[in-house]
Amino acid sequence: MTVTRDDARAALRDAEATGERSQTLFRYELSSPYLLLWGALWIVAGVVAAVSPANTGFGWAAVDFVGLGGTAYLIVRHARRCGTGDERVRLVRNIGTVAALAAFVGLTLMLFGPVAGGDVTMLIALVMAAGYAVAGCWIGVRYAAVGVALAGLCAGVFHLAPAQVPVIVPIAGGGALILGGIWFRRSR
Amino acid sequence: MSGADEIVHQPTRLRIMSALNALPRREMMEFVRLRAITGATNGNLGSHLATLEKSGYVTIAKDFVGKRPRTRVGITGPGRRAFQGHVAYLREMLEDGGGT
Repeated sequence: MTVTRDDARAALRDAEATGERSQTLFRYELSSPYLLLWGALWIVAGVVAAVSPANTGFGWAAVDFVGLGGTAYLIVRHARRCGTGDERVRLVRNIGTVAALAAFVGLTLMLFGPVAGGDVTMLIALVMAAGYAVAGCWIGVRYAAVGVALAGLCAGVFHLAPAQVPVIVPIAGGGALILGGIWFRRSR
Repeated sequence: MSGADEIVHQPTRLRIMSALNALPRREMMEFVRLRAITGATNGNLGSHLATLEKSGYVTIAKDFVGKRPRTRVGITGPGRRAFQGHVAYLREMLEDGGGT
């Protein structure tokens, strides 16, 4: 078989582009369950806030407890799928990034507290949106799309119906996360 | 420098192998996603997968998710080595200015 330098150059370019696309789609697939889990839990928290405003704090605590347990399970499953290669390193970095953002939100709320429930919801939603937008710059444009949709929804609710933030933001944001999760899972 | 791998070098098969090589070990890709990534038709992709499977470079698993049939494809150890060897050959060719 004769392979010219032009053939080799074109083949390498093609192989690299295909490999990158394959990795991006695989990462979308791995991220999908996290979005579906937290999307569903946000909606539950929003419904609790709507039905029983006095129990909003309890609803969020329960949702966070279930969410952290579910996330731990997903991380273990995710790590098994990734084996010991680069994807495992990436997973550890992602966990570190999310932990840093969570610590930032927690410390910010502590510094500026006491903070109204609606403001807490907005801050968490906006930091999540920013996280997805940053992920979009590094991993794949679909993350950025989810971040922009989430931020747009939050900003819209904040300006149009500020009193309803504790109810609408979790329900609309949760819906956006679920749609994003389905979009990621079906990525081709 | 080891030679070119004729099985891997064909453009569609090279795309198949690079898509599968990008996944972690033991991970498989659904046929429909592989078809979208490679831009091949069902028949074309099936034919190239058969060639790769016959060479021991990929494994094909068929099962059902609920009532829907699902076909998944994974790269084997020899397949990964063949792909990486072929890519190394292409890179060396460009660096050395060899080949024709």
